[in-house]
Amino acid sequence: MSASGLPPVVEEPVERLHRLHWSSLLFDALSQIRSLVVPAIFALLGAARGDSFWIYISLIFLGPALLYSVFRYATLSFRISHGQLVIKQGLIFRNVRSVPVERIQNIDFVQNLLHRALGVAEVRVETAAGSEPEATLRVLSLEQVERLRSEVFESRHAAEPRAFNVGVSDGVGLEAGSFSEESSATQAANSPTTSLVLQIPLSWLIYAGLASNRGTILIGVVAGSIYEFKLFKRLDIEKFADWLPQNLDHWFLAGVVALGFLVLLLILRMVSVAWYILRFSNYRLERRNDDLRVSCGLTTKVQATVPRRRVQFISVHRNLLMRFWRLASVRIETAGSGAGHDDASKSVSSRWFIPVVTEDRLAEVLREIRPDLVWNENEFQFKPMAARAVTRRVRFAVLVSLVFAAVGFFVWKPWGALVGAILLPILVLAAILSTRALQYARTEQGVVFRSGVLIRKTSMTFFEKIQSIEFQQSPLDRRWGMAKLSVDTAAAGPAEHKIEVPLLDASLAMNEQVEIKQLAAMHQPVYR
Amino acid sequence: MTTEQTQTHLNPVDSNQLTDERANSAVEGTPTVLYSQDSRFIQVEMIASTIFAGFVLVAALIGLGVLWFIFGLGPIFYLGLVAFFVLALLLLYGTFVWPKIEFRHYRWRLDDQSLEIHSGVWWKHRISIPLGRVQHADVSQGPLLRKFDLGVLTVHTAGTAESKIELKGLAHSTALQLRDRLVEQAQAKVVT
Repeated sequence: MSASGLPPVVEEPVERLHRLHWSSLLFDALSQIRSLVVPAIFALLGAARGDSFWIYISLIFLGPALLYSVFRYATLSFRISHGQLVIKQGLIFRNVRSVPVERIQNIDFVQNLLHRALGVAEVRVETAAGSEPEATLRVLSLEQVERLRSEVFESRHAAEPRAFNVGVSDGVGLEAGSFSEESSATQAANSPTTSLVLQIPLSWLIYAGLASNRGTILIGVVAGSIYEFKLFKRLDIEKFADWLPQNLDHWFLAGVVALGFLVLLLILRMVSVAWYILRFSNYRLERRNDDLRVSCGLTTKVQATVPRRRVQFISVHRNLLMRFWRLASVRIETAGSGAGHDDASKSVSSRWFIPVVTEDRLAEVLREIRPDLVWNENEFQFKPMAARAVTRRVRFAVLVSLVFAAVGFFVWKPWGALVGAILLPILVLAAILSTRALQYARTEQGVVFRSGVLIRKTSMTFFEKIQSIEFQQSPLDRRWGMAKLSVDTAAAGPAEHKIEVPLLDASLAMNEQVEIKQLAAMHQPVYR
Repeated sequence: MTTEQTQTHLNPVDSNQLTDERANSAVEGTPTVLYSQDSRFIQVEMIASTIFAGFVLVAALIGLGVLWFIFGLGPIFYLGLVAFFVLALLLLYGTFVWPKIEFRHYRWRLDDQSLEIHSGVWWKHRISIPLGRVQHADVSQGPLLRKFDLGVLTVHTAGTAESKIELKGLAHSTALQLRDRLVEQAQAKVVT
């Protein structure tokens, strides 16, 4: 860690006091209203019924909230001095937060349509520590964003000539010289160069949308609104039946229903295509020295920066259709990005890091995340699961079906037993396929685990990122001579895949634990 | 069950019996030897379990009284009585036998690469923490542990699922030594 917080010896950059953009008032009020959405719905429903009680209630809540917005706007100011970004807020109880400038990892911004119309953006200042952004400034004008960026990086440059890894702005802003300490020898690290890594064309987004199940959110929305507005009562189903021609052929009806399903499916897929286009149009992944920068969005523009040293975990997901079209999506996990915290810029820098990429570009793109990474899934030396792993899982599946059959039989004699009979082939097939899908490998850089039948997930973490290695055996595991091996990393979560390898041969698992432990100890993480 | 495990069963090294020199070697890291907890930890566990069992038994007695009050000396009461005795037996086992079994299955070792903790009687766990990954470590003592001069070493990593790993039942001095040794390795707090 460099000496932080010490005033730089070099001459001070001019201190300027900044304030939020005037439209902050508007956006702050909007977000307050959004957080009061429940009383607001009550108010609207009540108003529809001619009952104004809830309107008054929500006004009581809203009034102070709006006052607070005005107060916040009037009292918040920030400036850069002595190598610190200082944000002051409040009048009586004054809250002053200072963030050492050289610890600022990046300045991300989110811009929705309204923001764009007014030429402003919501800005997040992030440091390596912690899961929350260090500071959120809502909202600044684009000019202010630029000035903030240049001041931050200027000041960092002045405070510390050997500043590592400077994530600077989007081409327009000035560039701080960044001397990266541990950048690989192959990369010319002395001058900042931006290279375009990946651009996603519209056609990929359409394929990805068609392959994705995103559209099912629509079902939730529709079902919710039907329930909420009691549409069932209003729709007169009997009347609807009167419209239908009488004496229809059964086959014809079945055909209509099947067609209806197909159309519904198509609509859902169209919705997910729309969702992909809305979120990921103009997707660009760029690399500037050791920073990866993602920007995308049709209406809401998001820009996020990920220092590539902070990538802990790479997870490549492919569902059935994506495999058919030879597509993949990539999720990453970075230290300092908390799980569960899922706002727009965060999710772009983790869960939706690369929403879709073709197989033939995958390896090349992943290499930009880690220069030493050779991603060739056919070359990974996958170690076999325990010889009797499939037998064990199948036996369990049979047992579960038997239990269901027995319970079914006693509940509803004798046909209930059929439940078990129907479950048996399904569970057995699932057991065989899911066990065969499990694959574990150790490469030169780290550990690879693959699992999943419908959605195949292949994840990799690196020796220097491994925090602990655990060998676990349940009583059943011991009976079968098997064990589970898990590897823990920082910020596990957004990738929705963990390296927890079940059904390994016990001696292999124990051996692997020792090997991984030694390799992890050899590959010390580089702290800064 | 591996040969290594059976061996350590036959010849457990009780850190209570360690001379200072051997305790030092435990902390310095002799790769092959697995150490057990301090045997005084069994007593601590027994006392803690006795207190717990006492509370449970009192609650169960009250429950039994309620059964008597509502149903009288009928079959339901006798069923409750049987359940009470089964519970009492289980608690006796948990108090006076289980701590010893758990103790026998608990091992730790520090070598030049990692801290390793083996635990669990039915569900076996062996966790290794590479030394460079220790963010910080602290030693804590409850009133009972203090009376017996024992301590719990908590090792923090930057991980998610296993960010806090406890090594229980060490002599307080061993725990402190171990902590110092681990903290030496933890150079910085920021994960990259």
